[in-house]
Amino acid sequence: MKFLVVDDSSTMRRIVINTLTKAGYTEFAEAGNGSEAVDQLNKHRVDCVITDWNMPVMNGLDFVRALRANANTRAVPVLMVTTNAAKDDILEALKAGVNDYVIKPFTPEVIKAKVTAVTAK
Amino acid sequence: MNARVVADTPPVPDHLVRDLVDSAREVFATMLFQNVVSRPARPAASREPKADVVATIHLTGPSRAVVGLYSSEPVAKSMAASMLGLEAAQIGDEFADALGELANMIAGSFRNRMAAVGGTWAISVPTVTIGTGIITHYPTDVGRVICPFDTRGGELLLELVLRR
Repeated sequence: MKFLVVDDSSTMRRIVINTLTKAGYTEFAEAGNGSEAVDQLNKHRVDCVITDWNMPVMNGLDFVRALRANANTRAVPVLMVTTNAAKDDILEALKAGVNDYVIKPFTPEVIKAKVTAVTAK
Repeated sequence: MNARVVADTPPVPDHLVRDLVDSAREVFATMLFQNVVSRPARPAASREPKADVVATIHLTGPSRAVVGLYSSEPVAKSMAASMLGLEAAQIGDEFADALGELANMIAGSFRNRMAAVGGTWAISVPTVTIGTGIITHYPTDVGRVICPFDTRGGELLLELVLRR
């Protein structure tokens, strides 16, 4: 299973990848914003996207809308990892096409459980 | 009792200081796998805190606030190492990004706690400044309080700046 990890913080990308590596996953691609992520999806097959919300150039919400609008990527499961915890934010993300939502800070167990759930559907 | 800088500056309410301290403790426990010790918050004097690495986040909502993280470079590298699962000696320039993300998570958790009791808050992207003996100057009509923490690598100062 190949993951695309999208976050403008290289530290957060590394934390997510370290967590999933410990869970046994081995294939990862990275992007620093939504626009780079769209480019990655056009070049590579990806089985699951993990994306931040607040990013420069193209934010996570616009990226998810673009992903869902593309026939080639609309079925890819998306997990959003963000500090935005307001109920309206979560509803907006789900409406945009996010499958599930993780609020920072998070424990490794939460990321693993959410990834297992969204990729099983 | 509210923390005050001088008599004519706005106070920083105690409940906001508690929320900020609790936010920092939560982030350190879950993302850096360490239980930090918080020492009593104190009003900020005019030329403190001084630091080599400063990460700031601005919050806008019912009032305006700034959350600042101040540390030495070795402490910033120690915190980055904890976040990345590495030794401090393995950390290069990436400590700046790590401190920015740490500020983002602490300020984000703080924002969520404030929003839970009312109001909508917007949060900025983090800004990280690296130098020697950096002092951040604010207008005199802001309330400022410093929350010191003992982390595994040394002292971290967390500042809350509030303007109504």
